[in-house]
Amino acid sequence: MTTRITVTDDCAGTGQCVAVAPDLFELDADGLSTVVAQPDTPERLEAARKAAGLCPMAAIRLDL
Amino acid sequence: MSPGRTSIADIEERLADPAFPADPHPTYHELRRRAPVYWSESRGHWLVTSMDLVDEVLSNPADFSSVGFERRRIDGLAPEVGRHAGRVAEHFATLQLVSSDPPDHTRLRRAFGARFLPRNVTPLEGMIRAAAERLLDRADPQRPDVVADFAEPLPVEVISEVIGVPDEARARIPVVTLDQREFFGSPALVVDHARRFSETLEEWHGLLIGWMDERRRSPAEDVLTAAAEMVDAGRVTPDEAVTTLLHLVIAGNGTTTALIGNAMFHILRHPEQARLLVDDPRRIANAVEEVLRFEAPLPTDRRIATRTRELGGQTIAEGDLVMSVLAAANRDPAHFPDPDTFDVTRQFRDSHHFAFGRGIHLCLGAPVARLEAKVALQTLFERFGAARIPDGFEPDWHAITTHRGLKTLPIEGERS
Repeated sequence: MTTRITVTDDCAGTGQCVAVAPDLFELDADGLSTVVAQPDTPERLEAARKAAGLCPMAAIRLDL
Repeated sequence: MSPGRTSIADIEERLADPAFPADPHPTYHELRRRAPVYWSESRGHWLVTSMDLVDEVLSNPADFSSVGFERRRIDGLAPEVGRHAGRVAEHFATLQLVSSDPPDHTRLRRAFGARFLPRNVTPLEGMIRAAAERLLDRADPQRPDVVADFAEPLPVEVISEVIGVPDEARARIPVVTLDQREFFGSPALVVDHARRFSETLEEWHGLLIGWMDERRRSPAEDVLTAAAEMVDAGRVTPDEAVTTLLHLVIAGNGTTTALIGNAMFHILRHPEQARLLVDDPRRIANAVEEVLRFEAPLPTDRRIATRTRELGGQTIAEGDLVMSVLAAANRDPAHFPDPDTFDVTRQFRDSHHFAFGRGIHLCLGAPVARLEAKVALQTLFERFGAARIPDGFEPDWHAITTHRGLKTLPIEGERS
């Protein structure tokens, strides 16, 4: 089972997810975060968790 | 004194030195090397100075809470001072964005966040530029003071436009900003401070409530209108709206004043870097990031430990006050090569500075501050070129460890 990450409509584009997990998130043309890859390694899963914990808007969902 | 809470005599002396706020980095480097998590007996709090450990504190709001710092300051006042701080106690008894934890923090952040989305901030550029031009038209063309003539009034204009503060009340913004800074930043608080801040808060509560009522009748594209809607929708209480609005007013101006002043000071002290920015203004945005790293307007961020836990080999006790020194994290050599070198071309790919904080409390207004600083520098360079700081100028920093900014900065334009 892999964990699936999504960015919700609450995203405000603070960019902290991109800073700690650049493999998984990018800012789009509107300056909002978008998922570019799913966490397929333990390191990336850890980075995804870190990103979710840093988000001021609690806009990153991790679903098992 | 328990083991692990051992203060170091020579560090305590350095922290207590009246010259410390003006030149804190040698001490912060010393701390990071010898005790990156350090209990200061004289200050009564922990100082955290390495980037990784600051990250650990600010990334864990469950262990390090944003609630209660103001309460502690107010409760710790001498009774004869505290008696005059009644309105202050009431004001800070209400949850506000900066002093809340999840889930309340998430609720407030979402309620106030929309106005600060990138798509809502980008269009502010024209308004900021017009305000900057107006101020420079009024300034002494030969020898303006960057701080007094420009960096102080500009953020007041900008935050007023964003929030919706009417013209006639704008002169009151620096007053409440200074009152709050003194209240929480002055080691020795006197009756006058407490009474003045209490009265200013009273005044602002009345103003903000009145303006929200006006917005209910005639909505505008500002934070006041959004706040009134949030109250009416039951998403925030009226008190939460007022305290958070006032926090945004205060947070949005003094910090940006410092950022613009610090930027011009460090850039003009390096004429070759100033020349680079004058010749290629596209480099200004990166220069702003370097200024934020090198001289963060808010050097510290405070938390209170919710449980006893280990941090960097030290035992933090439940209830301890923990100061994350953002300014020290930003000069951690493990993350920034040659950290004491100011370099507007520095690459920020691998390490991001913590000047706007870290984690859930990351500065809400950061996109506005970045845009404002960029436009401010562009406008100054267009008007004055690679200006110079007059010979003999001695920087006079606000002598407070919780705010980093210059009191004055005269410049002489190369085109004047």
